[in-house]
Amino acid sequence: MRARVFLLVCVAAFLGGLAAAQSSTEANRGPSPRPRRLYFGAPPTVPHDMGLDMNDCLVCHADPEMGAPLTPHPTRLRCRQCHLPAAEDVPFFRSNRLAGLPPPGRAPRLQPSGPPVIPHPLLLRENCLACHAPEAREDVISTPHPERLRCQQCHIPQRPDTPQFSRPPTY
Amino acid sequence: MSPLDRREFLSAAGQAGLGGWLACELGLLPLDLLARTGRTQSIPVGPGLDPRLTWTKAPCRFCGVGCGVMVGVNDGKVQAVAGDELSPVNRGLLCIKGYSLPAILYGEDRLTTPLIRAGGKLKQATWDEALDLVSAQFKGTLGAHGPTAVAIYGSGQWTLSDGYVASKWFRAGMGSNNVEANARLCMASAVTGFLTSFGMDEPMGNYDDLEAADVLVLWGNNMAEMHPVLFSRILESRRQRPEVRLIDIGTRRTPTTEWADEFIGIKPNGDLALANAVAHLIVERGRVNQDFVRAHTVFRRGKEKIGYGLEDNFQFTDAPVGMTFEEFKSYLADYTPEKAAGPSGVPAETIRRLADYYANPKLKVVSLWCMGMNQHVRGTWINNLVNNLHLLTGKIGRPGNNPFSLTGQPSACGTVREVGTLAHRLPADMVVTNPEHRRLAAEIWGVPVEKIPVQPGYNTVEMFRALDRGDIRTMWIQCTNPLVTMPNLNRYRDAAKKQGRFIVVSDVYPTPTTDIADVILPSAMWVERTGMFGNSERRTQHWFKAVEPPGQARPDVWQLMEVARRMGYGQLFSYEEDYEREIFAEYRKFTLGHGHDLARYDDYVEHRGLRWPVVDGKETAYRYVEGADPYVPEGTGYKFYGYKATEGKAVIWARPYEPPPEVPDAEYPFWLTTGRVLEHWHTGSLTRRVPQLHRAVPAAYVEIHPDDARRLNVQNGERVRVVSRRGRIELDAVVEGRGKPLPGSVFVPFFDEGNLINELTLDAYCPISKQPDYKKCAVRIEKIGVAEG
Repeated sequence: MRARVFLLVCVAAFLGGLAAAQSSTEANRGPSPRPRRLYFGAPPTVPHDMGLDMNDCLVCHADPEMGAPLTPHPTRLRCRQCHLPAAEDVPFFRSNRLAGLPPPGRAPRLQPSGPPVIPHPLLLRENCLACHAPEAREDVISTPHPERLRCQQCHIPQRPDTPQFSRPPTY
Repeated sequence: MSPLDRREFLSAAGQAGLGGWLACELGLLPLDLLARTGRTQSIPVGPGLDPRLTWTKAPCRFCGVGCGVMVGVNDGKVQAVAGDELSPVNRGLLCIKGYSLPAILYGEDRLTTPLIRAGGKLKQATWDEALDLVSAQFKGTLGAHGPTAVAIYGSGQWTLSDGYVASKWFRAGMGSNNVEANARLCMASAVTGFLTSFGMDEPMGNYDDLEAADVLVLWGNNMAEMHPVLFSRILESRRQRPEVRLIDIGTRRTPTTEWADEFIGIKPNGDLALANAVAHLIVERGRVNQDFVRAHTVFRRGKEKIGYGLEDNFQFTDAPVGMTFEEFKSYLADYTPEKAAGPSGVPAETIRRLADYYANPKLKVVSLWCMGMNQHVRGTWINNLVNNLHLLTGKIGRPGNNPFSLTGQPSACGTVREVGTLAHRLPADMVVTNPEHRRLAAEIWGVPVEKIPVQPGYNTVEMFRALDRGDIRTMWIQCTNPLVTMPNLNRYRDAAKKQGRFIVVSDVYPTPTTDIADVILPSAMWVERTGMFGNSERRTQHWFKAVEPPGQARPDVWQLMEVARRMGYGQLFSYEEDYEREIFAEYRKFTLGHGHDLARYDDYVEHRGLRWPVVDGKETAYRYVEGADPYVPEGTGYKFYGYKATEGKAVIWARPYEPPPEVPDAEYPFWLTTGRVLEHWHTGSLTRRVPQLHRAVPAAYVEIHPDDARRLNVQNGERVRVVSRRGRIELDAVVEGRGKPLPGSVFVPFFDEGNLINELTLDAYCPISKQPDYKKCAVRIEKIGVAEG
């Protein structure tokens, strides 16, 4: 057990170092002055006036014809539950030291020539192409093959907590 | 056994980055490693969580919904949260406050060291200095003025152990019942409503009612903003079953109204007339569920014209008398839809339409409420009247057919109602006035029964009045911000500043309450400590400490026990290092065997919470119903077993309409209603320190109906003065905002410590629940520049 954990830490530290190098190059692209999310996984703020009628968001954000970023979860009706106007000009009440988790960068592959796995939960992200279509968003990975609509045929979601497969000995 | 301790493991996992993730994926990191190495547990985490972080479960720190969150830790800091897809409460969803949880720990001005005020200035102190001073003050006050002169004012954000230790120290140690919590301002009327209607506190149903119901009636509850995750469950239910109806009753059009199928505007206190009129129609149309009513209910009438608690030392004791169904029927004769239209402000036709939902035996109806019915000078009565509708029709105890009170704090139910941190209560629905309850408490606490005083302590409003008069000298405030939340605030701020008063405040950030403190103690919050909360559906939830608190901050429960020990009450708190587990085991003894049973500590470690009573390891989804509730004997169908006086029958109450104490007049022509916004929680001391939330709603404002604004010649965004008999503040007018009050009333949110609307509110309260009414007083609106009148 001891040796196994040691080996694990070594391998992990090496791979982790690679990952750190990768994410620092991504950070050099120049972040926007105010991050749109509190941390990776938090909902994005809305960079435009949300107006008074809070229930009209889906008119633009659920219709591909409108050209606005599409919501990946069009069945969730009350957008304001999670998305707030950015209100760039309001000063802090008190500032906050939360650094926030950056995006994970490129997702790993289970084997070198395999397709990348999905590095985030799928809840609220049911429509992959809302974010990953080539024209969709600057800050996410875009797919080179949007015509292959069934993404999860090849890209599988991760369950790091899933116990290893095992079965009792047959004899 | 693994050579890694938990901290090393965390840091290894952090360095591991994607490698760690792959390692997990390959099964190299057995999760039970965590369980064996330290404070966290081998519980399944939700799918797809970021492998760069180590994840643990906790309930959300904010409202009473009690959403499950996964807390992601790296480098000793909370870096992210995710909705817990394995939590039956929220199923992976959160609201924007929940997503903001990591940031509330890291505001730049966290309190990190004890502070003592000397010569008007705060000076840093050691824990020893601060705790010695606090215990000396409590000792001195006890000696000079007796146990009624000390008080503790806590919170529905207290964990179970915080509240339990506070109550034990006061009642079994110092012999004082002056234990109160801010939940008195928040849900006390729901408590007295449930107790008087059903003989036991808290809802019989649960959140599954939201999907099971055909009709959801919101009695003064802006659920879209205040309980967003539950509201999204309702919206999803209606999306899948378009026949679902959502009815919004209130004095203000809110974001909830935009989603409702019908809005029913009422006059303040008009809900009393409206609920009685619905009962009248149920009876008149022969829609009373006679079998249920005959077998499981009795009718009663209490005192009337019961006052408003505006005088110091106000006392009230109800004197219920029985009545027959025929007598109840004739009492309802005053509430025909036509007669009720006046006091309720609701047209007779609309009342009939509302009654149709309750009366139709084919429709399943859930009534939901929160502050609208609870912050009400007749709060207990309106709770009784809405409960009546479910009892008359037998729409109770079954999925989709229940009265359901929502709560605003994460452990208002768990800590204040169940642990019993109110002036008259003991743990598990017991009361200090009952000799048998006192005997049991004294036995568990290992003190002579005479130690626990018979006389209830001061309720919250009376507690601050007693501080003003000098009847209370030393007060400890934990986990709450009364110098923003008390009604008629000017009086109570002056009280706290008086000579000869000593105020200790435990908190995480500076607030208007720490501004008046003699000693400030820095608290560890949420996942900086281990704790348990109880949510609105009777679900008790546990979390482990995941990060170290900043500086010298320590848990509230630790602070309480340290002071108690210094005062010589150490034998009451002879716990070992794992005191959370021991305290819970002791508290659990109170709950067993009488319908409040809690599970073992380790059960809560494993589960996403369990709904009490938990009997033989099984939680109870629906109470009082045979088959669902183990306390209901076979063959009875229903039993309201908490009601000893009625031998297990629920009570249908005759409670009349009575007007509020202060109504608009020529000088103060507008109703003032106060409330909340989605982005801020309570006094904003946490949420305003989250930049995204603060930017969305940076300051309080006053909403005015467009017709009134036109008459006053006030433009949207114009600065105006709001004036009541008790105070005045200047605010920006909002004429077309997210909410729209009914004509003749204005609305102001109370979260903003820079614009304290509670300087204007009235400290009238429900005589039964002692909960103040923040929804009704009279104000005028002045244009700035016009001479002050």
